Amino acid sequence: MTPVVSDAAAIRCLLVSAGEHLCAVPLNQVRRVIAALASRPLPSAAPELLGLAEFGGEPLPVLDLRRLVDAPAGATPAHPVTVVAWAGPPTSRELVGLAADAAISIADVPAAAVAGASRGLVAGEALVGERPVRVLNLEQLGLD
Amino acid sequence: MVDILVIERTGTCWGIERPLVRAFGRDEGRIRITLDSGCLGADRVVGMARGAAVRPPGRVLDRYWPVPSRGLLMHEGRVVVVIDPGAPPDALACARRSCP
Repeated sequence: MTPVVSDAAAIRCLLVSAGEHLCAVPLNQVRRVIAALASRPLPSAAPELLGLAEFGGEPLPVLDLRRLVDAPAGATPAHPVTVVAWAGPPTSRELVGLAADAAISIADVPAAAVAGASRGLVAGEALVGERPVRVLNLEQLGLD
Repeated sequence: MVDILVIERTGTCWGIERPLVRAFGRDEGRIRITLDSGCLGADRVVGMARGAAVRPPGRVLDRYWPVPSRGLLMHEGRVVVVIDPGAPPDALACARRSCP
């Protein structure tokens, strides 16, 4: 999937907080942001999987974004959200819920500023308004 | 499309393809469901999802939940995990000693 590029060198992203980290989700991978969905846990699930919820009349796996990016826990969020997003390669994408502490804003992340080795879900890091941000690539989710 | 028997165990809804169910019983307050491949335990029977469309579990669920399943469906507003009868989840184990 080609990222949404707001100019020649920027990726338009939704910034969300997950524990003590700030993450950037490319906007073209975001379907909707809603108040935190209630999910039911599955026995023996990995810690990243919070459980299954209902979204739009369909089952939706909900993942803990803080655990996915290995972020230290932050303060208890006042308004937690679920980012409903497309995961996986464009030819076989599927919807997932990403539980996050808060949706912050939309930002243009300069593509050239994304640095560091790509580690699966995390494509790299960038500075957005002086804050370090982990830029996500949801096409990798479930592939690692 | 097939009829799915929906049961609940410890707060999670599970589905079993109806043609696979051989018998029901009750043991120590728990429901016992006999399949060709063995017995399962349930807290209660939720109902029957008739002609249910079961969607594949998906790559993400497979990645983070290491239990094989036939897929997922919605029944009365709840998510149901349709079990693989050849590899039922431990959470549905029947407590009865004589069960295979």
